[in-house]
Amino acid sequence: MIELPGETEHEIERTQSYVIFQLGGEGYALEVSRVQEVIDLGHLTQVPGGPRWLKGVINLRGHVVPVWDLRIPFDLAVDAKLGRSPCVLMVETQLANDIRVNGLLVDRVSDVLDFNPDDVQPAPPLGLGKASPFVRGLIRHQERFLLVLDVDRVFTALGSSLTAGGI
Amino acid sequence: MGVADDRFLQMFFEEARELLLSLEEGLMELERRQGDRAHLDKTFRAAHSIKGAAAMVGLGALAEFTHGIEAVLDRIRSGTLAVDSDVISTLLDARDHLSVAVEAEAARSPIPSPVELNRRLTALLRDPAAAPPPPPPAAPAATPKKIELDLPAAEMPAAKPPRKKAERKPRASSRSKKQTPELPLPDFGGTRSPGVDYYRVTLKPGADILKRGVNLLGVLDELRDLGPTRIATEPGLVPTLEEMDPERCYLAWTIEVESNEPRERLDDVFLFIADDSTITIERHSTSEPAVETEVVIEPAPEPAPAKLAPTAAKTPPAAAPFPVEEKPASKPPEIAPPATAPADSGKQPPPRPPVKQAAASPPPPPKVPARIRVDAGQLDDLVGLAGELAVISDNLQGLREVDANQPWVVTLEALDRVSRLIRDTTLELRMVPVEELFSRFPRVVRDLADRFGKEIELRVIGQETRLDRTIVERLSDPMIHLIRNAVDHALETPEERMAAGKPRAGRITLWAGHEGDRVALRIQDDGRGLDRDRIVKRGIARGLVPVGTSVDDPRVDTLIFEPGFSTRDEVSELSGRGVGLDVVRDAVRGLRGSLAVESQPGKGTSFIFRLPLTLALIDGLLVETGGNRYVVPLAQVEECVALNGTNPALSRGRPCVAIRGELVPLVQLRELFHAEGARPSRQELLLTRHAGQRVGVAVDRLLGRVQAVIQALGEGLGNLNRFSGATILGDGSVSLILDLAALVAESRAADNHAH
Repeated sequence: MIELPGETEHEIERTQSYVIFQLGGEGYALEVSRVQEVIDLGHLTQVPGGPRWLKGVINLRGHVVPVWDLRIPFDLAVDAKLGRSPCVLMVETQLANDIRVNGLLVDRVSDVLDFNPDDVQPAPPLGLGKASPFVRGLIRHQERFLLVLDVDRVFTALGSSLTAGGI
Repeated sequence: MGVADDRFLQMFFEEARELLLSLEEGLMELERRQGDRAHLDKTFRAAHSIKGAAAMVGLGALAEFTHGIEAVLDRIRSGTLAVDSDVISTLLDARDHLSVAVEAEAARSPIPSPVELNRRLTALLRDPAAAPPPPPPAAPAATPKKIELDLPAAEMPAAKPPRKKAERKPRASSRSKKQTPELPLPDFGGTRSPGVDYYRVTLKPGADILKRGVNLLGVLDELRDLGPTRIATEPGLVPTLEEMDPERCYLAWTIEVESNEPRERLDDVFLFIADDSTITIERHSTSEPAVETEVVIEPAPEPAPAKLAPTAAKTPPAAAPFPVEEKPASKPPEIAPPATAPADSGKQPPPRPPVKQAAASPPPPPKVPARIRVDAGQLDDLVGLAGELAVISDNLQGLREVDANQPWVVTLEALDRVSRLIRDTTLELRMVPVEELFSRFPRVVRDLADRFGKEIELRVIGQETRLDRTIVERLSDPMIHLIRNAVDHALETPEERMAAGKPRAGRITLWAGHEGDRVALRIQDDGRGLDRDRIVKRGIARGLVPVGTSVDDPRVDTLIFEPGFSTRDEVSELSGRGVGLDVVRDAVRGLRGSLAVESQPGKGTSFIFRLPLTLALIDGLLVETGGNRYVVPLAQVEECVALNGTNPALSRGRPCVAIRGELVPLVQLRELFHAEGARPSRQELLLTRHAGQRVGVAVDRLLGRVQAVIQALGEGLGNLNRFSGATILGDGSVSLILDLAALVAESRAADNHAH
């Protein structure tokens, strides 16, 4: 488990903390406020017949929580080497009017960083592959771009395609 | 009082919803057995309560509209308006509007008062055939718009108290300053109108009544509406300014009302304050001056505990327009606290002794189950936790086998016992009587009967049977569907019934009761019964049963549960429209229940729901297939048999196995789940029943019995029918709960697709 720092007192309106994680060789950023915790992937129960991007369900302190693998809908390489100790980000998502917790399987959580809103550039409409609709912006960081993930949109879109029998 | 705060509003909405239900029930009852005084009173009180409560929280428009309903009910009560189904329909429509309006207020988007409905209500109040029994000054005939509880009342309260105090001061102040409700009985005599009875009322409001936002002056005004009123109070009870708490009510009143109205009218006035006030009401007849005719309790030297007994039996008031009945106590009768002046102990003793008198050690009140409202989500959490506690305790029990002499074994046993008790109690909390479900059906049946021109009598049996709250909630639509079917299709028109030698009115019976560890609900009609000829023809045409199937084949009845199966060619407005019985059956299966049908031609049809007592916890079998563990609800398994590695026989292209000579279709869970690895040479077969037929589901291994606390799978997985949920096993891993019925259906569908 990694301790997630809360927002610092000063500049609280200006900066936003992001959890930085690696997924299929790309760097992603997600607002700290959306991440409940990060856990090591323990025992995963498979769900036969479930959607392909559902890795299974886990026991999160007595609650059954689904764990999803975004590399599949995003069409990213499933890198065996990087995934030697995969983590799960516990993310609060809002589907309809319901707040629920879902797990996102990631290769590695690398950091928690603060950025100004100015640092977040609008995402280009093209060029990010299948992840495009779910990237809200880009952050330039150490010669690389971090993709800011819009988790609500991920679950809304994938949830609806799921009920329609997709993915 | 100004804008009531949110909390009061919320309380009002909750209360209003309940009252609206009892108002509806009451109206239905009223139509069925007109003239039943007790029911009429109850109904009236429901309307009255809504009105008063609405006014108290500042929802004047609601109160005003409700007043219309109340006024009509009052006319019925007073006998000036005869009940017919038009009147009831108007009142029901008004109630429906009120219900919508309450919800609209709850959503903070009030809706306007419906002109048409107001017109209909007003019409009921304007009956020209006037001059019936007691026309008191404030007879409701001309007051459809008036609100009795004067809400804004900003001026009146300010203006009135001083006047009253001034009036009575000289006499009252000479009296005792005791805090008892025993007030001086000022002699109002001499001013009474001859020939009119009068009531003497003492009112000692609870000290905190003002904090509840009650407008006592409104109550007094309401009394004034009943007839000429004289009011006295005891200003000496108010402490000096330094000692006074402005939010406390120190005063008590003695009131004399000249009125021939029945006593219940007075009780209604005090409805909202009866809970925390001491109120006595005595009726005096002017024909026998100074003799109390209704309740006479001679001032006794010592307070007799049996004071409760005397009732109207003594001397019915001569001039009462109705036989005076004991008020059906909304609160349990309670022995009057001894401190109450004996002469005052009317037949409505104080429901709760005021705090001041607590020291007088009132006899213990009759036991009433106290109820609190609980957030449903929290309750669900509690049930889940209690179940987990029981599971953890189970696991610890397993440790005993390691070394039975451990010192903690005794503690462990205690833990086991307590955790089970907690689990059972919390599960019990979820249970509600099916009455909550059944109570909405009289209205449904009435409306449907109206629409189809049928006469229907509804009987309800066993409504106290208790079921899981979630089940009760989710059964509403399926049951309404079946009731619609019964009214629309099954029951004949009165003419048809007469011709068939049946009573004119069709009968629908709702029955609830226990069958083993399950609850059965039955919807029975005495209509024409299932048309088996037609069902068989339809079934053969659709390839659901083989050609030449006999009409008596037991499979025939279950055909009606097949998707899209309907023997009706025309679609009626209510039933039909593509929603078939398969939807009902699926809903019941979703609750781990079953649906069966029994029918006799010409005699009627019964649909029988069989449901588990609770949804939160199941007894299950832990099985393994393809390296994964699953829980199968024990209720779905009829039998387990070993399955040896022989290849299954094929029957009509489907794999089957012979079980004691019977050929049973086989579903391989491994195949359905695309499990990897080779099938073990020996498997276990779980025998279940699907559409009346035995089906075997093959799993790799049986691991044992478990108790499982069911959790829902996430939103996105809800449409995965094959799993009814998930549970956490003793080792902390998650196991999915299989729904055998859905699995078999799924496998059937896949087979049909392949063929």
